[in-house]
Amino acid sequence: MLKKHLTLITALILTLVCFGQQNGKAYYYTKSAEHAKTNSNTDDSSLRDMEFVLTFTKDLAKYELKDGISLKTEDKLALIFSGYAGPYFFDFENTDVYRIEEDYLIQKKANSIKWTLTKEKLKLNGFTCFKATAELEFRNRSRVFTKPVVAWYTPELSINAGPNGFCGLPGLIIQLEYRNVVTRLSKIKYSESPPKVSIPKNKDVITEEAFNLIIREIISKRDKN
Amino acid sequence: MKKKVFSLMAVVLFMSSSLNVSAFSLGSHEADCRAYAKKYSKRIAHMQVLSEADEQRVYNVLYSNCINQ
Repeated sequence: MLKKHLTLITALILTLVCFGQQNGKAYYYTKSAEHAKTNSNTDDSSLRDMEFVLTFTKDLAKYELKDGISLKTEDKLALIFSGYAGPYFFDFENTDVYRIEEDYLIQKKANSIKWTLTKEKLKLNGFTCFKATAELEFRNRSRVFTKPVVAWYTPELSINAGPNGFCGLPGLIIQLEYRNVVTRLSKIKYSESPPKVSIPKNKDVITEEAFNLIIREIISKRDKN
Repeated sequence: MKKKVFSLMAVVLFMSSSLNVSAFSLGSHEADCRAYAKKYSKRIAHMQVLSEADEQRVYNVLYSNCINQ
């Protein structure tokens, strides 16, 4: 009888803990890949170039630059070079990822990146992380080219999200290595009540491909002037 | 990352200062800024191997920086 009660209480506690961990905020910071290689100590505050927040609930998440950071022109350019074009919204139910740019809400599927999962392991922030790699295709004025991306994700946190809109892995991305910039988790704060996250409704929803066509047209028109 | 961006910014600022002499006297401030942002966003996109979307973002940043001066 006592054993039964104990089992029930344990199950209840576990449920409460799991429920609590569906809501919270994960904080990330960026540094150059060169610094990441030579400095394994992540507590060096001088390396913390920029901070980002992933606010998550069980249905949605939002990844954005931390509030209150005023950006100079060089910071804005640094953000572009690092691959950040957010804020990003993750719709877990429909497995969509959105980002806001100009007057558009740009949509892509969460599984649109073809990841190669490896067995390579690394302990980051106390989590066992696995390495995943992918090649991302872009188009510039003259040709199509690819850039490599490396993600270290942990199956210990079942949040299908990560920095710069990257997702589609079996766990939260703890570290992202992309364009010579490393974006790494610094801390996670869980909350009992879900934080406010919503996808903006007042924007035109278009696909990444459609958006790229609009941009190509803008550049082409500009070149003619 | 910032080191690289700073050196790049130095190049941009140097180029923009030389532009002051040549292109910046051709028209209105708005037209000058458009010309400046167009020229250097194209150059930066080439140097950094950026996508067209990133080139457009660089253009917006340079234009906005210029127009607010």
